[in-house]
Amino acid sequence: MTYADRLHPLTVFAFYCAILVLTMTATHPVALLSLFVSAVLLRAVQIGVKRTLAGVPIALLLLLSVTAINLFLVHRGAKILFFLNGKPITLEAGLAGVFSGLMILSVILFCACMSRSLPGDRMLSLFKRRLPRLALLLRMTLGFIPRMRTRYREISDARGALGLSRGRGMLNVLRARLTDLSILLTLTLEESMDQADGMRARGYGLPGATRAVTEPRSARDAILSVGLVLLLVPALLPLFTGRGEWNWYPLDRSALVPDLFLSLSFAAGTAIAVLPILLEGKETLKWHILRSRI
Amino acid sequence: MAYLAVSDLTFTYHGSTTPALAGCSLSVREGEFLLVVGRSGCGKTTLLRSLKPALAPYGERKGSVTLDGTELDRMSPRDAASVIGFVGQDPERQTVSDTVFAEIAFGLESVGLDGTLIPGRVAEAADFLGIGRLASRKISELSGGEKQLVNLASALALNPRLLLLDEPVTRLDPPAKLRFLSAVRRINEEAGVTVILAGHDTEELFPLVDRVARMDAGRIVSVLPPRDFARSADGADVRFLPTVPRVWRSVNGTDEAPLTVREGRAWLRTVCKDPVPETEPTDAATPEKKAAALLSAKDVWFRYGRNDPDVVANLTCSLFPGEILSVLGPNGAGKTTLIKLLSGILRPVAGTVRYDGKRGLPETGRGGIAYLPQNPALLFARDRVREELDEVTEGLPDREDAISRAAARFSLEGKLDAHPYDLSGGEQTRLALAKLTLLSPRVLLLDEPTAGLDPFARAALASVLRESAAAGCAILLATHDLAFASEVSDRAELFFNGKLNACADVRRFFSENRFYTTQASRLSQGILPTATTADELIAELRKEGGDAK
Repeated sequence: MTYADRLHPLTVFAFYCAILVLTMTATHPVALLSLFVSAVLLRAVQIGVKRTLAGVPIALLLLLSVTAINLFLVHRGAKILFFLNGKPITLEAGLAGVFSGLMILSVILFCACMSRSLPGDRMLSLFKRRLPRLALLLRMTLGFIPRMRTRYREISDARGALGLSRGRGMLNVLRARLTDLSILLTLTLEESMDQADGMRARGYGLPGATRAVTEPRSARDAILSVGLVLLLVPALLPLFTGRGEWNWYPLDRSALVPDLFLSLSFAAGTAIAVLPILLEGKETLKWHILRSRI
Repeated sequence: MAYLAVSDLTFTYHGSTTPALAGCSLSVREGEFLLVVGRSGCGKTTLLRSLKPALAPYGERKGSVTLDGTELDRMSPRDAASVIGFVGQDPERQTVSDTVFAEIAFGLESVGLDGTLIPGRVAEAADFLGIGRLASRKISELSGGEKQLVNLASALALNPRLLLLDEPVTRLDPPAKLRFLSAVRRINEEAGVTVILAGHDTEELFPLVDRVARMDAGRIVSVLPPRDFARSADGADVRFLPTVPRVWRSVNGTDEAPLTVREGRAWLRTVCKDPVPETEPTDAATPEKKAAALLSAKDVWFRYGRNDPDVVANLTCSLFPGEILSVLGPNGAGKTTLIKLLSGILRPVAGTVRYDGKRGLPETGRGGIAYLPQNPALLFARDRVREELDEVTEGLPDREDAISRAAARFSLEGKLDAHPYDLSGGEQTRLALAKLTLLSPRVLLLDEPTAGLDPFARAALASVLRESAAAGCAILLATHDLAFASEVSDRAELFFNGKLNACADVRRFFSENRFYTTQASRLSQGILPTATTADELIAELRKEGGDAK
């Protein structure tokens, strides 16, 4: 049981969307670094330190390759490290590479965290309520594919065992396969008629259908949603005002320390990412304490 | 005052000339549990569907149906959807959702119940049927029996007053069948819901129902309480009786008819005053004495995926020419897998399958191994029965003659120009068998051939199988139909834990088993220990009666 399980899926979804938007739009190294640290911590809280560390080699590989690509493709910047094939390799390009690598890593980590906090069926339940017909169609189609695959296997097995679907020569094989497919089509149509009956028997298509409320919203959801909005406004301000836009070429060291406006904004952004860590962490801690008492 | 009144209902399917229902009349009291029996094609399904407006078939309809005094056509679709519940035959084809919860909630959502009330109603229905713990499971992971209970729960959640069940248990194995029927009985008894069930599974149903209606040619011929139905049954009707009243009816049939094994044994004690001592049953046909095995598996192992459990584990078995071997066991035990291994569709992970003494299987086709899948429709690729049969006559000297002889043998003469999908379940099985036998196979592997067959079709199938065996064909059938297995087979064995134990003589198998055995055997154990089928028991009793006289 995680903290996210006790929240309405929409609340969880909104939090992760906000975090992902902030991460993808962040350019300032301070913001990127704080978001990356939050991502690592959240992952550690979710799956444990050991399993998080297990991801370090692949993360390093990704980081190094992104850095290398940037280093060798971008030749702008003032601080030249060395020349390669007559092209300058610069410190700025290297740093820009490292931080874009960190950004990509953070996005991957947050996505992994989201899929853990919000597994497939809970995610689907979000859309079910808003687009019920589409959700049903999607579900039935998705259910159809494996069913048709099994059915096709059964058909070709059964007919093959009689020597009916294993002809010699390309043309015969093709013909046999087409026959199998036509049987599959007929059978599937028959089956969908039964399924349609099952739906109609239970009143499908009547006007005024409702949706089961399986995840009622609680006060917790309300508080967190309000908190999210309150933090999101300052966190997004730099994006809309254009301030805090970071530029690697040329590197301006004085801009590295954010001013008061940016500091507050980054703090708000980081807070959004830190909140899940605290909530999940509290949960993990509680379990540890509970277990030690048992 | 009848709760449901069907009066003079006549119905003809669009494009057909003969009516499917011809002046059908029926009146059902509120809270009654009615069983409808009849040969397949007699109009049971048409009748049941005509009682549910959303499922009413297209065609020409006369007569009236009233439910609780209201004409069915005048009911609002919303009322009709919830007041009349319907569960059909195939558990696989009725579900639409991914999880059990969503499936049970589906109807409630469709009729527009307040969303906050739905979880409670779902919980109520699921818990009443004892499937509450399945609520968050995926439908695709459930067994057939569980799926059918989910279908029942989703009808039940709508709070129906009338429940229509169209052969709901024919695809289920005996334990799942009992679980489903006892759920239906609770709905009927504890919630007072009126139930109409059409089906051939009279064995389990006779003790449960209030009345039995017999349909014939689109008409209700008689509606009687089960004991009276048993007493008045004669001629062909006797086939619809379960074993206990059938034996009773064939031998004596005057006073109160027994319905359960317990009642049957009490009655049998009065007939056979001094019980016959239990003799050690002799193995009539020890397979070793016959010719060499035609198809055999030795130390065969099989699993579907590397990390999956073993479905077949260290299995050894042989099939001899001219014999019928029944492999029994619940659904999902791996009987189908075993058949696929023997037919060469699947290859064993370890061990060998030998055909005719040689390792490996023969070229498919003529004169080899023929496999009848559970769903015979998998084999049908043409638009007419005749073309269907013609597909396998290639290479025969006189193709027309072969087709007409096969059609005659499987009683399909009148159906040669019909579409295979328009045949009844029994006819489809026969057509598939006709197709197989046109290839003159030496081995027949049949997967659940009796599912959905009426008593007449079953009897016809039994005689066809015995004929083929007499002609030297080796037959293996996987089934959970114990009565059928005891009637046709020479040997029988329970498929358990991935293995077949030593395949025993069928008589021995059924007379030594106490629980996993036929009604006839349960009825006669300790009294007339040699009979394992209803027919044997009847013959035995008649002989005894003759001796006494």
